[in-house]
Parts: sequence; structure tokens; C-alpha cells
Amino acid sequence: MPELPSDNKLIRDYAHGFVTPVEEEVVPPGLNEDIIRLISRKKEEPDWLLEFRLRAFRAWQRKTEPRWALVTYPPIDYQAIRYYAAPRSLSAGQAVDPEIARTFERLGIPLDERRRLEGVAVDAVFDSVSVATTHQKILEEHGIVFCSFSEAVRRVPDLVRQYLGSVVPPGDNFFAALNSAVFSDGSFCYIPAGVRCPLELSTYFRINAAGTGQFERTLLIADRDSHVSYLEGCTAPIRDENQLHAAVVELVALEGATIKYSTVQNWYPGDEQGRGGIYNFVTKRGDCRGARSRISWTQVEVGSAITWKYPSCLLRGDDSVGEFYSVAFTNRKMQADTGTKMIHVGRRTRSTIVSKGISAGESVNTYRGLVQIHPAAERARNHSQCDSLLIGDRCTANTFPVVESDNPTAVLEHEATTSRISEDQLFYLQSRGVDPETARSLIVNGFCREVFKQLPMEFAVEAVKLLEIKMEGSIG
Amino acid sequence: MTNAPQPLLQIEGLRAGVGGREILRGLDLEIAAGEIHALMGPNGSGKSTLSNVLMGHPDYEVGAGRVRLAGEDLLELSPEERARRGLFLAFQYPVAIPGVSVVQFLKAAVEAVRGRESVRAAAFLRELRETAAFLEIGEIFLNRPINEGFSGGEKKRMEILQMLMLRPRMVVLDETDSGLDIDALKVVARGVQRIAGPSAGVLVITHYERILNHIPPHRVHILLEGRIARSGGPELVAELERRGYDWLREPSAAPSG
Amino acid sequence: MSKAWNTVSEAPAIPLPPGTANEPPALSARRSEAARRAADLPPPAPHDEEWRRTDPARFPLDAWPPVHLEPRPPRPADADPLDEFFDVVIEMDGSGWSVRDRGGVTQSGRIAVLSLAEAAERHPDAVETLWTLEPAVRPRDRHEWAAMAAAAGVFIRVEPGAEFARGVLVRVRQPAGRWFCPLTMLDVSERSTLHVVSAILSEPGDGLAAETVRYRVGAGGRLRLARLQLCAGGPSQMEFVHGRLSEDAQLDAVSVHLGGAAVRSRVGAEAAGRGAGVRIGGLLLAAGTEQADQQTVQIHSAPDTTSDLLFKAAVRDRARSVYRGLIAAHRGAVRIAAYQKNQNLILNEGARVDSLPGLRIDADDLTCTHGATIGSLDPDELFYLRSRGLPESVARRLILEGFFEEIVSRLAMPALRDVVRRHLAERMDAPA
Repeated sequence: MPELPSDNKLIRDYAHGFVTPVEEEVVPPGLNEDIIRLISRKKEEPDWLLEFRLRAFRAWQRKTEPRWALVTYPPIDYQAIRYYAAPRSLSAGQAVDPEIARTFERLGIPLDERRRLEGVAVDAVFDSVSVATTHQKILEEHGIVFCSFSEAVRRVPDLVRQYLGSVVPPGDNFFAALNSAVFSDGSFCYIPAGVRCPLELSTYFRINAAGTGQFERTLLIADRDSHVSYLEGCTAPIRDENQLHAAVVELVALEGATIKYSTVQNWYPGDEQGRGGIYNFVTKRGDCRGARSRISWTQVEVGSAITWKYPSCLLRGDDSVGEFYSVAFTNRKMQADTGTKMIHVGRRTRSTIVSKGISAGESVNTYRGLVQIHPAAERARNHSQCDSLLIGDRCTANTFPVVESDNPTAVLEHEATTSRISEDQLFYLQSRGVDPETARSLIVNGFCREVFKQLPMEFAVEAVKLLEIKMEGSIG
Repeated sequence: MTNAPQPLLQIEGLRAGVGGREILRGLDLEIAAGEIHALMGPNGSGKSTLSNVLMGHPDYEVGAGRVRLAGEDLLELSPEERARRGLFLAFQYPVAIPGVSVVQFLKAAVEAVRGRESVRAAAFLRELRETAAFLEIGEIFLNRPINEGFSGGEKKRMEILQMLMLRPRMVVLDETDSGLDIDALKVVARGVQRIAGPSAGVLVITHYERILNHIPPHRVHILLEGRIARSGGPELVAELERRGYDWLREPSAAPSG
Repeated sequence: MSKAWNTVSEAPAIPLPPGTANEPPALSARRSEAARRAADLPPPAPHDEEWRRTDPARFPLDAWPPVHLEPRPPRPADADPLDEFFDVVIEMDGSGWSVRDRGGVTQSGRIAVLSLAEAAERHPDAVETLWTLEPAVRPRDRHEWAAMAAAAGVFIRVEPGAEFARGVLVRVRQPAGRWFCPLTMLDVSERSTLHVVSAILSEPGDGLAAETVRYRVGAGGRLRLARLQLCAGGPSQMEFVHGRLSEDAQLDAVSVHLGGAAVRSRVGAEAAGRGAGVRIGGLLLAAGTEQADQQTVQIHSAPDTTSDLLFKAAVRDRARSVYRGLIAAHRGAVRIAAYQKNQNLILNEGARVDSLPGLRIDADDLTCTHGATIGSLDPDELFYLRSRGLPESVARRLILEGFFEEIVSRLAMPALRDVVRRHLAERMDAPA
């Protein structure tokens, strides 16, 4: 097990960068049908799921890695990655390993039922497996299924089979196909018709083992007229190698249902020279399948060496609503190519995009978006606002939206600005006694306010703090 | 130097400019605690340069001279350090800061200037509401982003609100009267009268005599071509009104500085 | 219809025109290089990002024999009422190009109108610079290289400090059934002003026209460039317009597209000197099954530069318009202000608009803004006008005229505005 790096500055910059000393059970590195069969066998999966994996694997073999995003990285050796790692204590079916419980405690996620977070049910994922899900009792009272993906395959196989891959098909894209072939665990959630979920649901992803990838799968189904707010958090240890995280998130909102999905992504971003950090190549898509359904994505991205991620909404139901609120902060040599797609199919569908990019250091921060109005999407509406803030003169900010309309009654508006923190604003704040660092942080928080206010209270406070920490020292 | 008590603000031989052009050419000015001074002058005489230099705007370069606040040299200090030592500038053109509410902004400023310990959240909010009411600023403004979409009058009132909250000892009002209707002007004057007192100094920079009817000055200075061309009592305002600036430009009338 | 092209027995994959043998060697070398570069690039395929929104089959490179534009004497038949507003009138068509110096301005020596071959002899540096101008953020594609390989036409140079009461009119009549590649090079020296208007018409029938315009504007110089494409139902059209501005130079460009079965246009400007300013306006009305794909590039490679771009498009029937814009701010281009706006109206079901504005920013201390809107005619405005007794068709036309007026009014000459308004009205009223 690698040791904690001794460089104190790194630890200060990225407080989540420690390694948990647990014995892990891993599969040999490499990817082939045998490995996939082995993963499936370890997880005691039904045949249909193994078939799903193998279909995806064959699709993946035919695909080439996408290169259109504005990110550069050395070729990934997919045969050098381990596709499964699990704490050994867990596979033996024991209670949560005290080391792992301590890890989550240190990350601010107590798993102990007596000390668990109030108002938030957490599914804690450690490397490839879900280690615990809190607040089970109250959820069950409402008929809500919230558990690890593996458990869902056993508890509600029909639901999983009906919806898995129905939003992101196994062969959707290179990384989604890879995930579909090797996904290890993740969270599953089903909210029954008419139920308003009494708790925030949350998954906390922790990459711990070295040389592994994390390929979790999240499937969230909101039945008719239900309501759920879901939070996702991510961290990883500081390592000087790059680790691949290729997740798939599928959301299904049936008639009248609302899903609010919030992410605070704080993966390890690599050091000042750009060594190490997570490659975050993620496919997130929501399907507003029913009329009047609503899916809202809120993301705060402050980590990852590379982010390649476009949480999207397929607006099929009439009067359905899609929202995307995003803050992406890049520093050092980080690269982010992120944005959203809003596909309007149903009548009177509406979408809102608010994207705030902040680039510092030598980073590259790209917004890429697509708004598409299909011929039947009568009176569809979209409003997009994409703003970039530059800190320093060595970073790059790009904005590449695509707006397509096939319907004369649709109204689309896109606006984008790129600017730097204004000297006049800084001077004004300084003249009121505020020091320059606080002044910059105030201005940046103001810039992000529209997005932060979408987050649940505790998450918003966390996000503001996180951004402040990340900004420290970003001004040269 | 006389034996009088040390002046609150002391400017000596100040030469300063912007973009390589010298605008202030040896300016001297002293303001004692408890005094209100007016600084008048035509466009381009250096009024705004003076306020920016006093506050330490990074674009302005100081060539020579000294500026002291209560005996301490200001010119080496950053803008926020000047604010913390009790200097306040009401800007001619306050900037908007999107997304940063008045409450949020003022809390950060008050904590920075008056000290974090001395301000409790509840007390701060109470004081803010009272002060806003005193200046006839609707409470709804307090949660709006600072100066964003504010009218000219609203912005100026917001400057005065900040002044009262930060409790400075030396206030510079830079053309605060421009663009104000008479009611707003009275509100601004009420705010200034509240801060003025035996321990504070006020410098009113203006074009017009109107504001001086509401904030009567003890001393009046005329700024011409970067220098004080004449100083006098309040009667100077009336004379200026009658004769304009040109009579001061005659070489014989210019003091040697 | 002319059958002169029979002299060419077989069109090569990258057609080179005949009659280029007598050109200066430097120019011939550039031509062969262009042909080679074009041949090296793969032909466009529908899944290419660049061609995903336009059917490449409408722009076949090897289907038509090339024309070589040789100088010829002017013909009385070329005269047009619009000519009287210009000092110099240039005609370009399938039979060659001619110049009429109506104001006698070339006598003064302050403006020169030369063929490309002459210019390559007399101003080799200028020709070389203009020939190689290319925006780094968007390299030339196969069509652009092929058009340069076959390009011939006119080189206009204005001496330092020169200014003329009236401008230069370039009238282009695109021949049908040909690969037609007219070239205009504009060399505007420091402190001088040039006003160039291109009026582009076409013969009915098919074919492919690819027009190249290259310009450079010296310090403190000014170029006004108006391009009016007024050809419905003619050959497929491509245009490649790009140039560079030195310190404090100004460009004011307006492009008007009123018709063309298939249009692919690239308009670019690089503000390369401190204080340079770019203003570009565009107007497009597409009807029937027309397809238009317009690209713009605003490059800022020097500090304190500005650019302001407004492109407006309306589509009716089953027409399709694609707009792709890019603002690129290079490192060190500080204190710039760049603005890009694309506004679109879809006039009926079946018409389609795509808009892809883009920002690519490698500098700080700047403000760049882009915006795009897509919508239809405002029903409230329509209702208001009809409630005042206007028939619906008139009401629609009025609103549409209002939509375009912001661009039309950017044309400097009232006579040009009238021409555009007249064509607009015809296009709006024409049955589907």
C-alpha cells in the first residue's frame, strides 16, 4: 500500500488525499471476456446481467476513444488497469471494516447509525463496492429502494432489468460501453409513485486502491409524481499516477416526477506539474420520460486532472423541464471539457443552462453544449447563459455551444461572456477594507451564486468553502 | 508648521498622475478633526485624481509628496489598509459586483474594518437595518447584488450607507451630489452630518455649490491645474458662483504653493 | 451557353485552369502547392464535423471544368445604373475580367488595379503576404486550397494616405456549368481608405463558384467591404474572405446573401495591430430548399483591439441556415472587447436553423461576449400590425424588414440599401 506523500503543501491543498490501509481483493489487471465473467461471478450476478456486460464489451471493442474534446493526455493502457478492487473484509460479508468507517468519518460521512448525518441517507462506495447505506428504515417505510447496485440486482431484479441501459445504452459511447462492461457497483434508487422522498439521498464515492479504475453505475428512477433530491460527492487519495473514473449515471423521471441531482466533485486534481490526478470520463443522462417531469443537474467541479462530462436531459414528455447549473473551476494544469445537452422532443418543453467556468493557472476550461429542438417540440424554450472568468494570463477558456432548431415556434437564447475579475471591482472592495484574497473570493462567489443557490444548504456551504480553498494561491 | 494640534489629514506637495501624465502638481491640504472642507474645481483640475490617489487606486502613480492620516504615512499602504485606518471614499461611479449582495459585502467589509470580534451577526444586521431606514433605503435592496441595476441616486445612498457602517474618521465624498435629486441630496447630507463631528474630518469634492448648502463647509479650496489656487471661508463659494474660475487663473492670483 | 470549356477534355481531381503557364514562377509555385495541398486533404464526408450540416454533394470539386479569368476589354453591355456611384467598375464572368476607370483615378497613381499575374511581378511581397494569409485557428480546407489553385482575378492597391470620393464596384456574374474561382486581393496602405462593393449575380443552372477575397489594411487605414450575393437558383457558391488589420486600422464589412441553392461562406478578420477595429455584419434570407452554411472568425492577436459582429438570418419554406462563429483571443491580446451575435428567424414549419457561436480565449483582461437567438416572427407584433388593417403578408414583410434593417443600414451607400431592400421584398413575397 503506498504511503501518504510527505509534502505538507499537497496535504493542505487537498485534505482528502490520504490512503486507507485496508487489504483489498483485486482482480488481475487487464480487460477481456474472462475478466468480465470473473467480475460477474464475484458479484453472483444473474445471466442477463452478464450478457449485458458482454454485449457492452463487444461494442467497446469496436469503438475508438473519443478525441474531439479539448483535452490532451497520454494514451491510456486499458490492459494495465484493474477493473475490480474491494476491501477483503467486505467480501467476507462482515460488518463495515473499522478502517473504512474511519475513512468516511474523516471525509465527514459517519456511517454509524447513531451518528449518521441528519436528513441525508448515504450510500458509501469504496473503490468498487458499496460499503454501507444509512437510514434504511425510514426509507423502507416510504417504499423507497435505496441501496448499492449489487443489492438492487438481488432485491429488485425486474426494476433493474427494465431500466438499466434504457437511458444510456451499453454502446452509447466509448466510456459508457467500458463502464457497462465492467461496472462494479454504485447506487440504485427507486422512488414509488406519489412519494416525496423525506431525506436527501447521497452517494459518496471514494477511490482508494492504486492502479484501479472506478466504474460505478448509478440508476435512479422516480415514478409518477414522486420527488427526490440526490447528492453525489467524490474524493481520492493523492497519487502520482493517473486513475480512470468512468461512471454512468442514468435518471428516469416518469410523469410529474422531479429529480434534483447535485454533484460536488473534488477528485484529486494532480500536482503543480500536472502529475497524477483522476481522469473523470463520465456519462450522465436524464430521461424526462413522462409529461410534466423535471430533471435538474447541479454540479460543482473543483477536482480531477481531466473532466469529460456532459450531464444531459432528454425531454420527451410534454411540458417536461431540464436544468443544468454548473460551476467548473480549473487550476494548475487541469483540463475540463464539460457542458450539457438538452434534447427537446416533447411539446412545450423548457430548459435552462447556467454554466460558470473559472480558469486559473495553466488550465484549460471548455464549455461544450448542445440544445436541439426536434420538429415536434412545439413552443419549446431554452435559455443558456455561459460565463467564464479568467484568473491569470496563462489559462484558456473556451465556449462552444451548438443550438439547433427544427421548429418555428421554439424560442432559444444563448449568451456567453468571458472576462477577468475587474480591477475596478477589486479596488472598490479593497477601498472598503477587504483584503485582495477575500475580495477575489467574494467576486468569484458572486459569479457562481446562481449555481450555488440551487444546491441544498449544507452542500452550498461546502461548495463555497471548497472553492475558497481551491482558489488560494491561484493568483500568481 | 504651527503648534496647532496635528491635522487629521495632511497632504504635502503631492504630485501624481495616471498613464504617464502628471495631473496633481504639488498639492497641499490640511484637514483637522471636526472640520468639513470643500474642494471645488473645473473639469480636469485633478479632483478625481486626488480621490483615487488618496484611496490608493493602482492605476495612479505618485511622483512626489506625502499624505498622512493622523500622522501615519498613507502612500505606502494598500487600499484595504487605508480603509482599516479610517479613510473612506464615496465613489463618483460605484461599480456593480454581480451576485454579491449588499449584506454579504458589508459584513465582509465591517469585519475587515471594525474587527471580526467586535461585530456579532445579529447586532450587525440590526445596525444595518437601522442605518438603511435612516437613509430611506428599502430593506429589499440589502439582499440585492451591490449596485447592480441601481439608479444613480440609489448607488450614492448605498455609498453613504457603507460610510455609516464602516464609521471612518476621514471621509472623502467624490462628486456625491452629481445626478442626485434634491430629496436624495438631503438624505445624503443627513448621513454626512451624522458622521461629521468633533473627531471626524470630511472632504467634499464637488463641482457645484448645491451640496454645500446642505453640508456647510468650514473651509473651501479651489483646485486649478493640479494645485490649490485659493483657500478661504464659505464666502469663497459665493464668489466662485459670481465670478467663475477664470479670475483665479490670472498669474498674479495664483499663490506660490 | 458557352461550350468553350470543351478545350479541357477531362477534369482532374483538383482542377487547374489553363493559361497559367505565363505567370511569374513564384505564383505558379504557389498555385501548384495549393493544388497539392488540396489533393492531400481527404474529400469531405458527411460525418466530418465541418460538413455534418451541409451536404458535400452540393459542392463537388471535380464535376465542372475550371475557368481561367484573363483580362479582357470592357463591353458596353456590361454597364449598369449602379455604376455611376463608383470610380472604378470591374466585371468578372466566364469570359474574363475587365476594368473601367470611370473617374480616371488610376491615372493619379494612387490606386492600381492589376491582374494577379501583373501584381505578382510588380508587388511580389504584397501578393505573397495576401496569398498566405490564413487564420491559424481555422486552417484552409480542401475547397479553399482548390479555389486558390485555380484563382485568378484582380489586385487592387491603394497608396498611403489616398482616399477616393467613390469606391470600386466588382460585379461578378457566375457562369453555369463551370468551376469558377474569381480572386480579389485588396492591399490598403497605411492611412488610406478603400470602399469596395461586390455584387454577385449568376447564370441560371448548376456549377460551382468559389470566390476568394484577401485583404490587408495598413496602420490607420480603413476598408469598407460590402458583398451582395443576389443570385437565386444559380451555381453552388463558396466564398473565402479573410484579412489582417495593422495598428488602428478599421474594417467595416457587410455581407448580404439573398439566394443561392447552396452557399458556404467563411468570413474572417484578424485584428493584428494594436487598436485595430473590426465590424462585420451579415444578412441572409434563404427560401425553397436552399442551404446556407456561414462561418465567421474574429481573431484578436494584438492588445486593445475590438470586434463587433452581427449576423442575422431568416429561413422560409424548407431552407436551412447554419451559422458557425468563433472569437479567438490569442495570448497577450489584452484589453480587447469582442462581440458576436447571431439572430435567427424560422418563418415556417420545415425550415431549420443551427447556430454555433464559439469563444476561444487564451488571454485575460478582456471582455468577450457572444449571443445567439432562434425564434419566429413575434405573434404580438403581427397581431398589432394586422389590427391596424395591414394584411398578414404585408405585416410579416414589415417585421422582417425591421429585423434586417440593422444590417441594411450598415451599408454606406443609399443606392445599395435600395437594391438590397428591393431584393429582400421580392424574396419575401415569392411563392414557396
